[in-house]
Amino acid sequence: MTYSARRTRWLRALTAAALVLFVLALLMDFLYVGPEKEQGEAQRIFYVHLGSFLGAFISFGVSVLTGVMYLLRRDARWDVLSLSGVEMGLGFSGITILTGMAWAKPIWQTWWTWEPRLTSVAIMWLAYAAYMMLRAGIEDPEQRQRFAAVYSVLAFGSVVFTIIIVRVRPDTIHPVIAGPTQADPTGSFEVTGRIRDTLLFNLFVFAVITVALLWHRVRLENLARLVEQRKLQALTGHWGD
Amino acid sequence: MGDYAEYMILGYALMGAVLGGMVARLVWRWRALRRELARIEQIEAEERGENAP
Repeated sequence: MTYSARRTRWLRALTAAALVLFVLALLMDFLYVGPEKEQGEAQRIFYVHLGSFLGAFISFGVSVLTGVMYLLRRDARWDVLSLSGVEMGLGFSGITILTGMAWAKPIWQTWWTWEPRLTSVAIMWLAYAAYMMLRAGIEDPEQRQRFAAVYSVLAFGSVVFTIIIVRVRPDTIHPVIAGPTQADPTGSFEVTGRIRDTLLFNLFVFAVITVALLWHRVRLENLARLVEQRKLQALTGHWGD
Repeated sequence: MGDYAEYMILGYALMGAVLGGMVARLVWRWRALRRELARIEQIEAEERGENAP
Protein backbone atom coordinates (compact mmCIF):
# COMPACT_ATOMS: atom_id res chain seq x y z
CA MET A 1 0.00 0.00 0.00
CA THR A 2 1.47 3.33 -1.06
CA TYR A 3 0.12 6.77 -0.27
CA SER A 4 0.75 10.04 -2.07
CA ALA A 5 3.55 12.16 -0.57
CA ARG A 6 1.09 15.05 -0.29
CA ARG A 7 -1.33 13.06 1.89
CA THR A 8 1.50 11.83 4.08
CA ARG A 9 2.73 15.40 4.53
CA TRP A 10 -0.80 16.42 5.58
CA LEU A 11 -0.95 13.59 8.09
CA ARG A 12 2.44 14.51 9.54
CA ALA A 13 1.40 18.17 9.79
CA LEU A 14 -1.88 17.19 11.48
CA THR A 15 -0.04 14.93 13.93
CA ALA A 16 2.44 17.68 14.82
CA ALA A 17 -0.42 20.18 15.19
CA ALA A 18 -2.31 17.75 17.47
CA LEU A 19 0.76 17.36 19.67
CA VAL A 20 1.41 21.10 19.95
CA LEU A 21 -2.28 21.86 20.56
CA PHE A 22 -2.45 19.17 23.26
CA VAL A 23 0.45 20.80 25.13
CA LEU A 24 -1.24 24.21 24.77
CA ALA A 25 -4.52 22.78 26.06
CA LEU A 26 -2.75 21.37 29.12
CA LEU A 27 -1.12 24.75 29.76
CA MET A 28 -4.55 26.39 29.53
CA ASP A 29 -6.09 23.78 31.86
CA PHE A 30 -3.45 24.39 34.54
CA LEU A 31 -2.25 27.97 34.07
CA TYR A 32 -4.85 30.04 32.20
CA VAL A 33 -7.88 29.03 34.23
CA GLY A 34 -8.00 28.94 38.03
CA PRO A 35 -9.64 26.40 40.32
CA GLU A 36 -13.42 26.56 40.61
CA LYS A 37 -14.60 28.09 43.91
CA GLU A 38 -16.58 25.05 45.16
CA GLN A 39 -15.02 22.10 43.32
CA GLY A 40 -11.44 23.36 43.60
CA GLU A 41 -8.79 21.64 41.46
CA ALA A 42 -11.06 18.66 40.69
CA GLN A 43 -13.11 20.85 38.33
CA ARG A 44 -10.14 20.98 35.90
CA ILE A 45 -10.88 17.33 35.05
CA PHE A 46 -14.02 18.57 33.33
CA TYR A 47 -12.01 19.96 30.35
CA VAL A 48 -10.56 16.60 29.34
CA HIS A 49 -13.70 14.75 30.41
CA LEU A 50 -15.87 16.67 27.95
CA GLY A 51 -13.09 16.81 25.32
CA SER A 52 -12.70 13.05 25.33
CA PHE A 53 -16.47 12.59 25.08
CA LEU A 54 -16.40 14.76 21.96
CA GLY A 55 -13.61 12.50 20.63
CA ALA A 56 -15.79 9.45 21.30
CA PHE A 57 -18.80 11.10 19.66
CA ILE A 58 -16.81 11.96 16.52
CA SER A 59 -15.33 8.45 16.36
CA PHE A 60 -18.65 6.66 16.84
CA GLY A 61 -20.24 9.13 14.42
CA VAL A 62 -17.64 8.22 11.78
CA SER A 63 -18.31 4.56 12.53
CA VAL A 64 -22.07 4.79 11.97
CA LEU A 65 -21.79 6.93 8.83
CA THR A 66 -19.19 4.68 7.25
CA GLY A 67 -21.14 1.62 8.39
CA VAL A 68 -24.12 2.91 6.39
CA MET A 69 -21.81 3.67 3.44
CA TYR A 70 -20.49 0.10 3.56
CA LEU A 71 -24.03 -1.30 3.47
CA LEU A 72 -24.82 0.89 0.47
CA ARG A 73 -21.58 0.38 -1.50
CA ARG A 74 -20.09 -2.87 -0.13
CA ASP A 75 -16.63 -1.28 -0.40
CA ALA A 76 -14.11 -2.58 2.20
CA ARG A 77 -12.61 0.92 2.58
CA TRP A 78 -15.76 2.03 4.44
CA ASP A 79 -15.38 -0.96 6.75
CA VAL A 80 -11.80 0.11 7.55
CA LEU A 81 -13.06 3.55 8.60
CA SER A 82 -15.95 2.08 10.59
CA LEU A 83 -13.66 -0.26 12.53
CA SER A 84 -11.17 2.56 13.16
CA GLY A 85 -13.98 4.76 14.48
CA VAL A 86 -15.13 2.12 16.96
CA GLU A 87 -11.62 1.41 18.23
CA MET A 88 -10.81 5.09 18.75
CA GLY A 89 -14.25 5.72 20.23
CA LEU A 90 -13.70 2.99 22.81
CA GLY A 91 -10.44 4.65 23.86
CA PHE A 92 -11.93 8.13 24.11
CA SER A 93 -15.07 6.98 25.93
CA GLY A 94 -12.80 5.02 28.28
CA ILE A 95 -11.07 8.33 29.10
CA THR A 96 -14.48 9.95 29.66
CA ILE A 97 -15.51 7.23 32.11
CA LEU A 98 -12.21 7.17 34.03
CA THR A 99 -11.88 10.97 34.31
CA GLY A 100 -15.53 11.14 35.36
CA MET A 101 -14.82 8.68 38.16
CA ALA A 102 -11.85 10.76 39.35
CA TRP A 103 -14.12 13.85 39.44
CA ALA A 104 -17.06 12.03 41.05
CA LYS A 105 -15.15 10.79 44.09
CA PRO A 106 -14.62 14.23 45.72
CA ILE A 107 -17.84 15.81 44.36
CA TRP A 108 -20.36 12.95 44.72
CA GLN A 109 -18.39 11.10 47.45
CA THR A 110 -18.34 7.96 45.31
CA TRP A 111 -16.32 6.63 42.35
CA TRP A 112 -19.43 5.28 40.65
CA THR A 113 -23.20 5.36 41.00
CA TRP A 114 -25.83 3.77 38.79
CA GLU A 115 -27.56 7.03 37.93
CA PRO A 116 -29.03 7.40 34.38
CA ARG A 117 -26.07 9.09 32.62
CA LEU A 118 -23.39 6.83 34.10
CA THR A 119 -25.48 3.75 33.40
CA SER A 120 -26.08 4.81 29.79
CA VAL A 121 -22.39 5.57 29.15
CA ALA A 122 -21.45 2.16 30.60
CA ILE A 123 -23.99 0.52 28.27
CA MET A 124 -22.54 2.52 25.35
CA TRP A 125 -18.98 1.37 26.10
CA LEU A 126 -20.06 -2.26 26.46
CA ALA A 127 -22.12 -2.08 23.24
CA TYR A 128 -19.01 -1.03 21.30
CA ALA A 129 -16.78 -3.53 23.10
CA ALA A 130 -19.26 -6.16 21.87
CA TYR A 131 -18.70 -4.84 18.31
CA MET A 132 -15.03 -5.82 18.60
CA MET A 133 -16.00 -9.26 19.89
CA LEU A 134 -18.50 -9.68 17.07
CA ARG A 135 -15.80 -8.95 14.49
CA ALA A 136 -13.39 -11.35 16.16
CA GLY A 137 -16.00 -14.11 16.08
CA ILE A 138 -16.77 -14.09 12.33
CA GLU A 139 -14.32 -15.83 9.99
CA ASP A 140 -15.68 -14.85 6.57
CA PRO A 141 -14.47 -11.28 5.77
CA GLU A 142 -17.52 -10.25 3.74
CA GLN A 143 -19.93 -11.52 6.38
CA ARG A 144 -17.84 -9.90 9.14
CA GLN A 145 -17.94 -6.52 7.40
CA ARG A 146 -21.70 -6.75 6.74
CA PHE A 147 -22.58 -7.79 10.29
CA ALA A 148 -20.24 -5.17 11.76
CA ALA A 149 -21.80 -2.43 9.63
CA VAL A 150 -25.33 -3.34 10.74
CA TYR A 151 -24.16 -3.56 14.36
CA SER A 152 -22.41 -0.15 14.19
CA VAL A 153 -25.71 1.43 13.11
CA LEU A 154 -27.58 -0.23 15.99
CA ALA A 155 -24.85 0.57 18.55
CA PHE A 156 -25.03 4.28 17.72
CA GLY A 157 -28.42 4.27 19.42
CA SER A 158 -26.53 3.97 22.72
CA VAL A 159 -24.59 7.18 21.91
CA VAL A 160 -27.81 9.11 21.20
CA PHE A 161 -29.34 7.64 24.35
CA THR A 162 -26.33 8.77 26.42
CA ILE A 163 -26.60 12.32 25.09
CA ILE A 164 -30.33 12.80 25.60
CA ILE A 165 -30.78 10.93 28.88
CA VAL A 166 -29.67 13.87 31.08
CA ARG A 167 -32.25 16.05 29.36
CA VAL A 168 -35.24 13.74 29.78
CA ARG A 169 -34.66 12.00 33.11
CA PRO A 170 -35.41 14.22 36.12
CA ASP A 171 -33.55 11.89 38.51
CA THR A 172 -30.06 12.30 37.04
CA ILE A 173 -27.39 13.92 39.19
CA HIS A 174 -24.97 14.42 36.27
CA PRO A 175 -24.29 18.10 35.48
CA VAL A 176 -25.53 19.46 32.13
CA ILE A 177 -23.27 22.11 30.64
CA ALA A 178 -25.35 23.24 27.66
CA GLY A 179 -29.06 23.02 26.90
CA PRO A 180 -32.11 22.37 29.02
CA THR A 181 -32.49 19.70 31.72
CA GLN A 182 -35.36 18.64 33.97
CA ALA A 183 -32.98 17.50 36.68
CA ASP A 184 -31.30 19.17 39.63
CA PRO A 185 -27.71 17.96 39.15
CA THR A 186 -25.04 17.72 41.83
CA GLY A 187 -21.70 19.29 40.95
CA SER A 188 -22.86 21.93 38.45
CA PHE A 189 -20.91 25.15 38.04
CA GLU A 190 -21.26 28.32 36.04
CA VAL A 191 -19.46 28.27 32.66
CA THR A 192 -18.19 31.79 32.24
CA GLY A 193 -15.07 33.66 31.07
CA ARG A 194 -11.89 31.62 31.26
CA ILE A 195 -13.72 28.36 31.99
CA ARG A 196 -15.64 28.75 28.71
CA ASP A 197 -12.47 29.67 26.74
CA THR A 198 -10.59 26.67 28.15
CA LEU A 199 -13.48 24.33 27.52
CA LEU A 200 -13.90 25.44 23.89
CA PHE A 201 -10.16 25.16 23.24
CA ASN A 202 -10.05 21.67 24.76
CA LEU A 203 -13.00 20.60 22.62
CA PHE A 204 -11.20 21.85 19.50
CA VAL A 205 -7.94 20.12 20.50
CA PHE A 206 -9.65 16.80 21.18
CA ALA A 207 -11.39 17.04 17.80
CA VAL A 208 -7.99 17.51 16.09
CA ILE A 209 -6.44 14.63 18.09
CA THR A 210 -9.39 12.40 17.16
CA VAL A 211 -9.04 13.10 13.42
CA ALA A 212 -5.25 12.53 13.57
CA LEU A 213 -5.59 9.23 15.47
CA LEU A 214 -8.39 8.04 13.20
CA TRP A 215 -6.25 8.74 10.14
CA HIS A 216 -3.32 6.80 11.62
CA ARG A 217 -5.64 3.94 12.60
CA VAL A 218 -6.99 3.74 9.04
CA ARG A 219 -3.44 3.47 7.69
CA LEU A 220 -2.66 0.78 10.24
CA GLU A 221 -5.71 -1.23 9.21
CA ASN A 222 -4.82 -0.87 5.53
CA LEU A 223 -1.34 -2.19 6.30
CA ALA A 224 -2.79 -5.07 8.36
CA ARG A 225 -5.05 -6.08 5.46
CA LEU A 226 -2.13 -5.86 3.01
CA VAL A 227 -0.07 -8.18 5.21
CA GLU A 228 -2.99 -10.63 5.42
CA GLN A 229 -3.37 -10.53 1.64
CA ARG A 230 0.35 -11.17 1.08
CA LYS A 231 0.31 -14.06 3.54
CA LEU A 232 -2.62 -15.60 1.69
CA GLN A 233 -0.80 -15.19 -1.62
CA ALA A 234 2.27 -16.85 -0.11
CA LEU A 235 0.21 -19.80 1.14
CA THR A 236 -1.49 -20.32 -2.21
CA GLY A 237 1.75 -19.80 -4.14
CA HIS A 238 0.60 -16.65 -5.97
CA TRP A 239 3.54 -14.39 -5.11
CA GLY A 240 3.14 -10.75 -6.12
CA ASP A 241 -0.35 -11.23 -7.67
CA MET B 1 -2.14 22.95 45.31
CA GLY B 2 -5.77 23.60 46.18
CA ASP B 3 -8.69 21.41 47.19
CA TYR B 4 -9.01 17.97 45.64
CA ALA B 5 -5.68 18.36 43.79
CA GLU B 6 -5.01 14.62 44.19
CA TYR B 7 -8.19 13.79 42.23
CA MET B 8 -7.23 16.26 39.51
CA ILE B 9 -3.80 14.59 39.23
CA LEU B 10 -5.46 11.18 39.13
CA GLY B 11 -7.88 12.32 36.39
CA TYR B 12 -5.12 13.73 34.19
CA ALA B 13 -2.88 10.73 34.84
CA LEU B 14 -5.66 8.36 33.74
CA MET B 15 -6.29 10.47 30.64
CA GLY B 16 -2.56 10.46 29.82
CA ALA B 17 -2.27 6.72 30.38
CA VAL B 18 -5.20 5.83 28.10
CA LEU B 19 -4.30 8.35 25.38
CA GLY B 20 -0.63 7.32 25.58
CA GLY B 21 -1.70 3.69 25.42
CA MET B 22 -3.76 4.35 22.30
CA VAL B 23 -0.80 6.02 20.58
CA ALA B 24 1.70 3.38 21.78
CA ARG B 25 -0.56 0.57 20.52
CA LEU B 26 -0.77 2.22 17.09
CA VAL B 27 3.02 2.61 16.91
CA TRP B 28 3.72 -0.92 18.18
CA ARG B 29 1.25 -2.55 15.79
CA TRP B 30 2.55 -0.48 12.85
CA ARG B 31 6.14 -1.53 13.53
CA ALA B 32 5.16 -5.20 13.96
CA LEU B 33 3.25 -5.17 10.67
CA ARG B 34 6.12 -3.47 8.81
CA ARG B 35 8.49 -6.16 10.13
CA GLU B 36 6.06 -8.88 9.05
CA LEU B 37 5.70 -7.37 5.58
CA ALA B 38 9.48 -7.09 5.20
CA ARG B 39 9.83 -10.76 6.17
CA ILE B 40 7.19 -11.83 3.62
CA GLU B 41 8.95 -9.81 0.92
CA GLN B 42 12.28 -11.38 1.87
CA ILE B 43 10.85 -14.92 1.62
CA GLU B 44 9.21 -13.98 -1.67
CA ALA B 45 12.54 -12.75 -3.06
CA GLU B 46 14.32 -15.92 -1.91
CA GLU B 47 11.64 -18.13 -3.49
CA ARG B 48 11.92 -16.25 -6.77
CA GLY B 49 15.72 -16.55 -6.67
CA GLU B 50 15.50 -20.33 -6.21
CA ASN B 51 12.99 -20.74 -9.02
CA ALA B 52 14.92 -18.57 -11.48
CA PRO B 53 16.21 -20.44 -14.56
